[in-house]
Amino acid sequence: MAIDLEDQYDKIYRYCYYRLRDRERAEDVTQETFLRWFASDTYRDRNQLLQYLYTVAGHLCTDEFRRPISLPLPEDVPDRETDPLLSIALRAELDKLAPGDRELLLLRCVNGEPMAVLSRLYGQSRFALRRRLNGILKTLRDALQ
Amino acid sequence: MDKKLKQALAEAYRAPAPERKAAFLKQHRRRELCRWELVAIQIRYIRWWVWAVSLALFGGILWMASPARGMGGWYAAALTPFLALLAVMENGRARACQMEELELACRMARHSVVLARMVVLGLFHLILLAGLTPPLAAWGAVGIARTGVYLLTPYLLTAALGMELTRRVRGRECLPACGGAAVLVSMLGVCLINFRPELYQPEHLPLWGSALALATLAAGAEIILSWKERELQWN
Repeated sequence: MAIDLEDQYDKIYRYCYYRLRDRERAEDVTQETFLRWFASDTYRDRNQLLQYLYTVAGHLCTDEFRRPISLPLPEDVPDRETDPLLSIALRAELDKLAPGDRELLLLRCVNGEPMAVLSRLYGQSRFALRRRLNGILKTLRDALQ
Repeated sequence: MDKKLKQALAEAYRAPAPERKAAFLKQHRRRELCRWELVAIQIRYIRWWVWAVSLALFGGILWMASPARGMGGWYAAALTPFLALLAVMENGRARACQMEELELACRMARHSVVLARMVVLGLFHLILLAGLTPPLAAWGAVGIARTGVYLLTPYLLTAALGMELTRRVRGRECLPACGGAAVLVSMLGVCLINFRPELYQPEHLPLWGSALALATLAAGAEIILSWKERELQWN
C-alpha cells in the first residue's frame, strides 16, 4: 500500500531526466509531479499510484519539452563498474532505438516497474508488452555480439 | 535478461544525483496509512446491525448449548456459518450494488478496504468463538480443543465458500448464493449430528483436524485470490 517516496522520487527523476536531458528541469518536473499527487490525495494503492505518477510526469515532460527530437543519451554521467567498451557500444545501440522503446527499457529494466503498471501505462496487454521488451533486448544483444 | 546487460543498462541510464531531493521530501513528507491503521479506521464503517447480528448469533449459540435447552454444542456449531456469512457479505455487498467501478476509483483500493473489514469481522468472530469455547466445552463435557475444532471448521468452510462465490457470481445473485452456502454448511452439520453422530466421537478428531486444516488453507487461498483479482480488473 505505502510506497517508498525516496525510491520513487529517484525513479521519476530518472524518467524525467531521460525525457528532458536536463537535470534542473527534470527535478522541477519531478517535484511538480509529486506536488500534484500530494494535492490530489486520491491514489493510495501502489500500482494505481505508480501509473498516476508516470502519467503525470510524462505529460509534464511533454509540456516542458515538446519537440519530438531524439537526442543521444547524455554523456555527462561518468560510467562505473561496467566494461567501457560495452558501455559505449550499448549507448550507440540505445541511440538507434525508438524513443518509446528506450523509455520502456528504462521503466522495466532500470526502474524495475511491474508489468501490470506498464501494461496500463502503455495500454497494451502484458503479453504484448513482454514480447515487445524481449524483441528490444534481443536487438540489443545481437548488436552487442 | 543477463546480469551484464542489466548492469550496463543501469549505467547507461544513470542520471546525475538530484540536488533538491532531500529538501523537497523533508518539506513535503506525508504520512502514509499502515495496514493496521486502515483496519482500525474501517471498524467504524462496519454497520451497526452487523455487530448486532454477530452478538445475537453469539447469544443464540450460548442459549442453544446451555444445559437448560440441552441441545448440545454440536447443534450450536451449526449457527457459526451464519457468523462467517456476515464477514463474507462485506466482500459481496459492493458487487451486489454494482458499485465496484466507482469504488475502484476511490482513495483506497476496494480490495484493501474489503480485506480490512473482513479482518476486523474475522477477528471479532474469533474472539466470540474463543468466548464460546469454554462454556460449550464444560456443558458438553468435551475438551476445549475439540469444541474449538467443531466451532471453527464450519465457520472457515463457509468463509472459503462465500469468498469463492463472491469472486465467481456477479451482481445481485452474489449475496443469496453466499446465504445458500451458509445454509448448506449449517444443514450439513445438523445432518451429521442426526445421521452420523459417531463422527463426533474422539476417535474421529483427526478427521475433523484435517477438515479444519483444509478449510483454513481454502480460506487463506481465497483471500490471496481475491487480492490478486484486482490486478485482472485493472488489466
